Amino acid sequence: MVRSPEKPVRAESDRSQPGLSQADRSQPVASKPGLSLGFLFFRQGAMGYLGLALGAVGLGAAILLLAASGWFITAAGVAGLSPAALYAFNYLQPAAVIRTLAICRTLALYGERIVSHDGILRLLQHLRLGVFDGLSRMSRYRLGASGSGDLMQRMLTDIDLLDQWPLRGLAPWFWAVSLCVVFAGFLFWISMPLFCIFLVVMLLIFGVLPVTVSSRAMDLALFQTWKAGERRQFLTETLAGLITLRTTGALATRLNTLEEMDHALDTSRWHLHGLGIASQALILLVLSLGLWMILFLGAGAAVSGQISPALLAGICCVMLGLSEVMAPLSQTFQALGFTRGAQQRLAGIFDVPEDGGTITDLAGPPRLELENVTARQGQALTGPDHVSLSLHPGDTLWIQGPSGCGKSTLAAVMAGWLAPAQGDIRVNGVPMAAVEEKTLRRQVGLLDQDLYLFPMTLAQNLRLAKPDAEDSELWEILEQVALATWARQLPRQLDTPIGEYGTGLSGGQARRVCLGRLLLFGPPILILDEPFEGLDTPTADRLLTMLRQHRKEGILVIISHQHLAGDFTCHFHWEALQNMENQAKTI
Amino acid sequence: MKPDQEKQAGKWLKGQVAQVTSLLWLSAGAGVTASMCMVVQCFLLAHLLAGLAMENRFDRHLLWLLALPFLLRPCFLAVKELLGFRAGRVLRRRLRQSLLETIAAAGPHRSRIAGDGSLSAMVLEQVDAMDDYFVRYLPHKILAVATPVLIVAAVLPHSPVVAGLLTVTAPLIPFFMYLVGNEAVRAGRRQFQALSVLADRIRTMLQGLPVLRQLDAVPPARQTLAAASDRFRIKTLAVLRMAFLSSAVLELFASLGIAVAAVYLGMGLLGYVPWARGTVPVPLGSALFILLLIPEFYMALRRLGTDYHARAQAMAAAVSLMPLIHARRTVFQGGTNVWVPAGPPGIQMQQVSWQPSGRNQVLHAIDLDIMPGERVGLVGPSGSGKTSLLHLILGFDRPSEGQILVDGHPLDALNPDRFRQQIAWLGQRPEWFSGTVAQNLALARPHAGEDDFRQALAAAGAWAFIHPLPHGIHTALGEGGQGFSGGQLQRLALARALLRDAWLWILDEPGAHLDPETAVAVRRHMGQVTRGRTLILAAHHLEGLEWLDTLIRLDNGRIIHIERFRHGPVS
Repeated sequence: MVRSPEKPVRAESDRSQPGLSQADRSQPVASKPGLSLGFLFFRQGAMGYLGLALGAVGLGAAILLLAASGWFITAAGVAGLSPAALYAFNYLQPAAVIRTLAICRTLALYGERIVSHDGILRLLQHLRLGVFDGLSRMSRYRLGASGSGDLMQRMLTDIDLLDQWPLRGLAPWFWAVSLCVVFAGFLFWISMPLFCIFLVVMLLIFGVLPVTVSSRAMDLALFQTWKAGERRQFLTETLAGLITLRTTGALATRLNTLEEMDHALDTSRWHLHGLGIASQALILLVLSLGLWMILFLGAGAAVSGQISPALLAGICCVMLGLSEVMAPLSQTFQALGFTRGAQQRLAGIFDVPEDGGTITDLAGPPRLELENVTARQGQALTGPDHVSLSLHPGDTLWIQGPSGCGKSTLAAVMAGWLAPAQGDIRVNGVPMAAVEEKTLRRQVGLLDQDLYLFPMTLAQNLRLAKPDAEDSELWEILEQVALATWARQLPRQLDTPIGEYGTGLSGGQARRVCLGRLLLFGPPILILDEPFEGLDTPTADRLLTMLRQHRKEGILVIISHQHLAGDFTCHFHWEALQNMENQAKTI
Repeated sequence: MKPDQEKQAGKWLKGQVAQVTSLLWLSAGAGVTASMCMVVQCFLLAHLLAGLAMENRFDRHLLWLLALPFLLRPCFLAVKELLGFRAGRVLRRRLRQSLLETIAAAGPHRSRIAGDGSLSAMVLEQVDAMDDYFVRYLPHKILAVATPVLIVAAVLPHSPVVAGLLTVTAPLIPFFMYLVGNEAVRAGRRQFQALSVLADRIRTMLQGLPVLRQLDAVPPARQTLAAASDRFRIKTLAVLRMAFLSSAVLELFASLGIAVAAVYLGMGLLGYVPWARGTVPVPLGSALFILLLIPEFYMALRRLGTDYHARAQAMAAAVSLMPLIHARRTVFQGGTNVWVPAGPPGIQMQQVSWQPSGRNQVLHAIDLDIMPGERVGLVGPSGSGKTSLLHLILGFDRPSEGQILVDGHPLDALNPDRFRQQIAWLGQRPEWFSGTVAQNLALARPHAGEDDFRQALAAAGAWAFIHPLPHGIHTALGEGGQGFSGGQLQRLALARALLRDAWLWILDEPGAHLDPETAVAVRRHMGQVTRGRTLILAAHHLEGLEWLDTLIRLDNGRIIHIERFRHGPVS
C-alpha cells in the first residue's frame, strides 16, 4: 500500500523540477544545510526561543494551578479536622499563589501565541525571499527550464507547509519533555518509587512513541504529498482533454482511475489519522496507568505516613494536567512528515549556489557566433541541428520556418536561456557560458514568445528596464512601438494599470509593450521571437522599419513565420537551416 | 469574502452535513460517553484521596474501579475520532463525485465557471479542506454543549454555589468571544485580503523572474517584495493579537474558574466562608471531585475555540465552490434514447435559437438541413456563433428555442453520452494525455491492434514520421503533446479520429494555430479521408477546404449565405 519514501519523492521531484541536473537529484536532500529542521527553528530568531519559554511557563502554570488547588483543598480538609492545625494553617499564601498562577497561565499562553506566530511569520518571510533569491541565483539554463506558473504555485504552497514543524512538531515536544523532566526531578526529591514509576511513563511515551510511530507516519505523509500531486496532475490533464474523452467514451475509465487514486490517498489518510488516534490513546493509557500505579504505591505510603495525602493529591493533579500537554504529541509526526515532504521538494531551489560565468568585460562592437549548435527543448524530438552562423554589427537575420520546428529553441539558445546540447556559442568572442549573467543580459536581449507583463501600471512595467527613465523617454518608446496614440487616449495614460498576462490589452499591444520595454533596456543584440504576431501588416511594417533604424549599430534577429518586408542581411528558411554555415559565410 | 456569499455557502454546507447527521451524532455520543467516564474517574479519584486524607483509609475497591474509566475513556475518544473521520470521508467522496459530474456535463462550458486549474483545485484541495470541519468541528460543537451540561449536573448536588458559578461563566464565555471574535472576524477578513495580495505579488514576481533577470531588475524587485512581506507580517500580527484575545478570554475563565472554586472550597473546608463561618459547606471528597471537573468544563469550550479555524477554512472552501454548485443547476442532463447510426446521418436544425442565461443571444432562428454524407463548412468572423452551433450539436448546450434532429430523432431525447460516442471530434488544439502515442490513439478504440494503428496513421499521413522513431508508436507523448510539432499533432489527431470510424465528424477550426502551409496540407488530407461521412467544420479561412460540399456563412448568429458546390450527397 505504502511505497518506500524514496520512490515517490524521487518521482515527484523529477516532475516538479524539470530543470534540475542529474547531480542535484541524486544528492541526499535532508543533509542540505539550507533547509534543515534546525534551520527552520533558528531562523525564527529570538522569537523562537521566547515562544518555547513562554509556552513552557504557561503550560507549567496551568498544571501547577490545578496541583496547588488540589494540594490546598486537601490540606485545608486535613487542617479542618483539628482546631490546632486549623489555627496553624496559613491559607493566605496558597490562595495568593493560586491567583498568581491563574493570571500567569493566561498571560504566558497569550504571549506565547503572539510570539510564536511572529517567529513563524518571520520564518515564512525569510523562506519566501529565500526561494526568490535561489531562483534569481539559479543558473540561467536551469531557470529557463523550470519556469512554469503551476510549479511556482506549488512552491509557494510548499513554503507554507514548512512552518508546520516548528509550531506543531518541535514546540509540543519541547514543552512535554521539559515539564516532565521538572516533574521527575520533583518526584526524585519526594519519593524514589514514585520517581521510578514516572520514569517508566516518560520512557514509554518519549521512547516507544517516536520509535513505533514516527517513521510510519512520515512515510504516510510523504506518500500523501506525492499521491496528491499525481492526482492533481491526472485531473488537470483529464479536464484539459474533456471533450476528447467524452466523445470517445474514455471518460468513465479515466474517472475510475481518479477514483482509485482518491481511494489510495484516502486509505493512506485513514492510516495516518488512525495512527494519530492510536498514539493519542496510547499516551492517555500510559498516563492513566502511571497515575494508577502512583495511587497504588502512594496511597500505601500515605497510610503509613511517609507522604502527606495533600501532596499525593497534588501529584495526581499534575498527572491529570500532563495529559493536556502530552496529547498534542500524537499529531506531531504528521506535521514533521509534511514538512519533510515540502523540504525535499524545495531543497534544490533554496540556497542555490552562485554559478555561471564571471567575465564582465565584453568590449568592442557586438558579435554573436554559433558553431555547430544542436539543441532541444525538454523532450522535444525536433529542434535546431548543427547550426552555425556568425553575426556582426549591422546584421539583420530573419529566421523563417513552419510551426514547431524549433525556432524558439534556437532563440533561447542564442540568448543564453537554454544550454546547447552540442556546439559552441560565443558573444563578442567569449564563450557564452563564461559570461556573467548581468553582463550577458546587457548585451543580448530576448523577446520571448510567452509574454509576461506584471500587474502594475504601464509606466512601472516599462520602468523595470530603466528605473530612472523620464516620462518623455517612455512616450518616445511608446511612439517607436506604435502605441503612443493608443496610450494617449487612455484616461490614465501612463498610469493605466495592466493586469496579469496583459489583461485589458490585446495580444498585439501586450507584445509591443514588452518590445518597448526591451528597447528601453537597450541591449545591442536583440532577438525577437514572433514580434509581429497579432499585428496587422502596416503596423508590422512600421515596427520593422523602426527596428532597422534603431539597430544600425547592433544585431537584430527576428523569428517569424509571417512574411517580412524589406531586406535582411541574412535570411534562413528552416528547411535550409542545415546549410546555414555556407550562407553565413557569404555575408 | 462577502457576507451574503458566506451565508449562502453556510446554508449549502449545512445541507451537505445533513447527509451524515447520524454518524456525527454517533461520534458526539462517543465523546459524551468519554466525558461521563471522566466524571466517574474524577469521582472515584476524589473519594480515594479524601478517604486517605480524612480517615487515613486506603479503599482498594475504589482503586480497582478506577481502572475501568482509565481504560474506557481513551477507547471512547478513539471511537469519536474514528466516526468523525468516517463521516468526513463519506461526505468528501460524494461531494467530489457530484462536482466531477457537473464539470464533465458542462464540457467545453466549464471555462465559464473557472479555469481548469481552479476547477481541479476545487474538486481536490477545496473539498479536502473541509475535512477538519467534518471530523473535528462538528462533533466538538455538540460536545461543547453536552459536556458542560453534564458537568454542571454532576456538580449541582455537591455544591450549588460552584454549579452556579459555572452556569454563570459558561454563557459569559460565548458572549465575550462574540464581542472579541466579531472584531477578529472583521480584522481577519482584512488580513485575508492582505494575504492574497501578498501571495499574488510573490507569485507574479516568481513567474516574471526571467523578465526581471533579462532587464537586470532583480534587486529592486526583491526590495519591493521584502517590504511587502514586512508590512504583511506587521498587519497580520495586529490581527492575531485581536484574534488570540478570544482564546485568552477562555483561558482566563478556565484559570479563574479553578482559582475561585479552589479558594472557595478550601476556605469552606477551613470554615472561613463569610456567610457560613464555622461550618463546612462542601466536604473534602466532593470538593476534590468538583475541582477535578472544572478544567474539563472549560476544556470542551476551549477545544471548540481552537477548532474554529476549521470552520473558517471550510467556509472559505465552500464559498469558492459556490460557482460550481450553482452551475450544476444549469447543466442539462439529457434524455435516454440510444441512437445507433447505420450510415452517415442527416442533421436538421429547425428554428434553432440559443441564448445563454444572462447574456446576449448568440444564435437566431437557424434553419439548416444537412444531408447524410454532406460535408459542410461554417465560416464567419470570430463571435459569429460557429462554435456555439457545434456545441449545440454535440449536446453540450440545448437550444433555447427550436430543435435539432439527428436522423429524425430529437437530440434532446437522446442519451448525450451514447450520442457523443458516435462522433469523431477534432478541435483547434488536439487534446493529448501523458502516455505513448499508442495509448493516446487507443482512447478512440480501446481494443485496437498494431495493424489498426498503422492503417490509421498511414491514412492520416502520420506513419511517415512515426515509423522512423526508435520506439515507433510507443514513443512517449509529453503533457499536451510535447515532442511533436503542431502539424504532426494534427495528423495524429486525425489518425485518432479515423480510428473512431464514426459516421459523424465535427471539427472546430482544425489547425487554426498552424502556419498556413502546414494547415493547408493537413486540411487537404482531412478531405481525402472523410469522404462519405457527414461532416461539420467551423473555420476562419478556407485554404485547403476546397473539398467541402456546402459552405454556410454565419454572421452575428444568423445564416447569411448558403453555397452548395455539388448537388446531392456524396455517398
